Amino acid sequence: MKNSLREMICVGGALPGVTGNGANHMKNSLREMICVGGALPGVTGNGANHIKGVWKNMENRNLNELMREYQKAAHGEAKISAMKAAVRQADLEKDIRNQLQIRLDLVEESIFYGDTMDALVTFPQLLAMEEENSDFVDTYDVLWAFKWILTGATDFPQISLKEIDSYLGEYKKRCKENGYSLRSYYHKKRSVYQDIDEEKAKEANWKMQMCRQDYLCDCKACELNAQVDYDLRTGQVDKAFEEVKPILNHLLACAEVPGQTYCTLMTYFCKQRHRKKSKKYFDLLYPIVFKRKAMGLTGETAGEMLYYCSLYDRAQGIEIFQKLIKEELDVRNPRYKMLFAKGAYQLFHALQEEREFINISLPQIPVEKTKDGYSVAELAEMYYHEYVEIAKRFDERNGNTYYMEQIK
Amino acid sequence: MEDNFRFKVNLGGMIDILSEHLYSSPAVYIRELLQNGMDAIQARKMMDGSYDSGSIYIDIKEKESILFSDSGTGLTEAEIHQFLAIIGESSKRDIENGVLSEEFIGRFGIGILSCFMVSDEIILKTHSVKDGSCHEWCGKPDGTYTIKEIEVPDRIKDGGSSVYLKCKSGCEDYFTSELIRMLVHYYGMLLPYPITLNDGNERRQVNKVYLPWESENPNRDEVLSFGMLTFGEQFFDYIPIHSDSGIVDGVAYILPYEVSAAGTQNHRLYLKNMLLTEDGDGLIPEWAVFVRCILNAKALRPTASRENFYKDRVLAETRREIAGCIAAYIIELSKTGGQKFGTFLNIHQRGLKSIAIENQELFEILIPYFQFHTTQGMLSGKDLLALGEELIYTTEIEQFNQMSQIFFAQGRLLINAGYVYDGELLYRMSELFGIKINPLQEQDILALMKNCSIDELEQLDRFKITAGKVMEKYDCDVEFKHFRPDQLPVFYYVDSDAKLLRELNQAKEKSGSLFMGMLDSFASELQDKASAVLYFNYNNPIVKKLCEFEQTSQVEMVIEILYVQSLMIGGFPLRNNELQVMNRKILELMEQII
Repeated sequence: MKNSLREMICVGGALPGVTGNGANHMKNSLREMICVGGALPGVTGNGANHIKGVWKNMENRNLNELMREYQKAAHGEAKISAMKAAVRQADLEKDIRNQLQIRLDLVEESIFYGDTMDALVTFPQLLAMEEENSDFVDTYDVLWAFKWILTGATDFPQISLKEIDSYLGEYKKRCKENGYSLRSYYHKKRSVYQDIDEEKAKEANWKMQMCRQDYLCDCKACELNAQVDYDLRTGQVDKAFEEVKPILNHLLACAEVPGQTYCTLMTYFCKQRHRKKSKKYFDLLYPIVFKRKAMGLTGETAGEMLYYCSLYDRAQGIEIFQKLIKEELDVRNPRYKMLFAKGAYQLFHALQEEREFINISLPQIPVEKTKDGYSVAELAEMYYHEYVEIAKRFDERNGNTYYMEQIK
Repeated sequence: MEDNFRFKVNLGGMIDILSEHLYSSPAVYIRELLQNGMDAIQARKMMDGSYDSGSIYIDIKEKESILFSDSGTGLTEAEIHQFLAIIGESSKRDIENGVLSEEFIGRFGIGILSCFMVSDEIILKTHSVKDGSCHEWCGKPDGTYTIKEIEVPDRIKDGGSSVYLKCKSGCEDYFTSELIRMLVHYYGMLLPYPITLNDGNERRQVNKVYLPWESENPNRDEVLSFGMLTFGEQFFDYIPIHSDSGIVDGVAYILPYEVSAAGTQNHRLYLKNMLLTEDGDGLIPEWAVFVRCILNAKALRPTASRENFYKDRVLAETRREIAGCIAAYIIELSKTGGQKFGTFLNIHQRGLKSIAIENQELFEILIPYFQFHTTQGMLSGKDLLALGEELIYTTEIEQFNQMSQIFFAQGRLLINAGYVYDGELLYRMSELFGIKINPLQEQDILALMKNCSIDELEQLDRFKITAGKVMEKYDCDVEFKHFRPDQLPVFYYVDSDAKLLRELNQAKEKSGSLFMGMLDSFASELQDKASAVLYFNYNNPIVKKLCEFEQTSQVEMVIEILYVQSLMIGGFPLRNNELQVMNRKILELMEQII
């Protein structure tokens, strides 16, 4: 009965047992009700109007239109929102190919231009659907998405290390099953463990070097960027500065590099209190971050830019803070929130030396604005607590005190 | 004792590297020949200031060969040995002084190698105007070459050089008059010397030497016609562009239709009159999606492949100046007002909104004209500012669709900031004009609803219990209020946490076990924070009747239908059980009616 009615409504078939003029009458009544806004027999007035409204809204946009809309939309929230609408429609229409493809696109968009949460919600569905419909999607694309999820998952302390290990294990298994090198697996493992377990990260690092490169690996620029970052973290400074040359000489670049590299070097020189060099990399990083407007990049770099500004250019820091605060309030990625909070704390803490209040426009935050403006001390305190709250969760998950040490 | 050796270069290998990694296609050989020819003519002009007969001739034997001749300086024998036989030794580079002549197009001295991508031999005949000598240089891809003195051929009797290429097997398509004409026009449209093509059937000048925007009083129709011929578009208008930093001149044509920020934009960007790239990245501001530019730069640097501009400070400054030209045009147009400005605004509203966010001056000028979608129809920024009241907006289109009925019925304004840039524009408005603009919150909705009286609460008590039980399985509270419009029986409200919780629960239904723990962790965190409420409208006759209805099972059925319908109206993703409810309950309802 259900299928017949659906068929009748959508395709114009006949109700079993009802034939000829009866079937036509039924078909037309239903179509009229749905498409034109006529009344269901026996349902009048407000009820009829209500049903009309429901069906009209459902029929407003078809899948092709929705897909065009998201392809045209600007990166970030607008595109993600449009993609979600397209996914809903693809699900309704049971268009397997597009159910998978749009989800793939949504994962990518959320990772690079969003706060990763939508990627984490979408990817499990994608993986389950891929297993049942492998003919409709390229496993290679799914594995790439899986790779991004591996890094994204570490941004959320709600996800235990045990779970992250299981994701890594599953990724490794799939690499082997599909004949891919394990280089990308070890790369991700190193990046997961570099703040958590030095020995595991070290092992992953050298195992990665033993594996061949293939199309599942990050591009050369990204791999080199990550290597430079790892080498700096592990105190291999000379090696890092030798390795980074192709990036700094513009021989290697991609969407993420050299932006990420400039951030790494800026932070390194800030910690060394090398003003000139940290400024050099800040100046290079700034236009990239604010031109690209990709939350994936901003999330990683905003806090460090504020840190630089806390040391050398507080006015610029306030400007950056104002530019980013609105976006930061809505971010659901704890790591991005934590990094921003740290940078903001460092900025306002430093600013306390020169002023008590700051009279700027900010969106609604839990600090009261008085006639003199916002209390700098209160802002510093608010961000300190915000950082500590999240940092503790990460340290608890990771079994160390890495993040709490950062604020000392 | 030390022995000195010299690195040997495998020319064949280098050609492979150039063809596979530097040049995008073998067809660039035409560009390289054009560049060399132009530079040779330019060099002759510099030698002899009165020389103004520069020209290029291209003789084509279809799918066989090409003879490319220029009326430039030509090369002496010594220059042939110095510049043609040593890769990277450009005759256009003043190595001793370390200064590059700004007039020359080429810089790297490797362009000639591109000819080996389409031919196994380069035969260059060159008649030098310096010493009158005439030589033939014949180079092969294995690195060998010959030079001999020859009689002056007709084609270069007044000085210059000609390059003869015989096509190699598999490259016939690069030796057709159609392709060569297209490429010459494509690369050399702005070249200041006539380029004539002879394909055996006809001889025709390919390029127009006159650029309509360069005259003192440019004729608007001529400029627009030029744009039409170049891009195949009937443009709305054009903007003269000039930059001192990059010494850039040209026009930006305004498209007559809206374009997407994500779409590709094909410009024609020239370096010293030779086409460099169609890609505006780096030179054209990224918000300028509504223009197509023809620009000629004289003081910008190319990359090694000569297929884009080198990103340096000069390029950045040039881009700022170009942005300034476009902004100035818009400002001037806004001052004149009128239909032209209105049409321009209508077509390119979205692009202009993105500029306004970047450019403070443009923001202040354009914000009164921007249109915003509200529950009171489209209102301009000026209208919003004139209201003088607190403005409420939502950044989710679905939420706007859902809320608009209630706001509209109450005569309250809600702004749909779900379209890209609108949210940011509103935020900027609040900063600049000091008006209160706030995102929609639950209390704003509650303010539009009236509580039921105690008598009414008594009447609907049983129904309330039934509704509560039904909605429990959907993690949704139930409330009874009076609100307009009366025809709306229910209204479903979720905050952002509840929305995410719905998505997570839906994801759990479709996912395997690997990520279940993660989804559960996220969901459990949100459980206590999430707020989802189904508001029943006690003004609505259906709701009133339901309250009086005795048969509990039928009441439950209707409650679930109303709930699922409210989800659909709000554009919420439906979970599996909700979809099934919809199907099952409607069928049951129809059975009862039919």
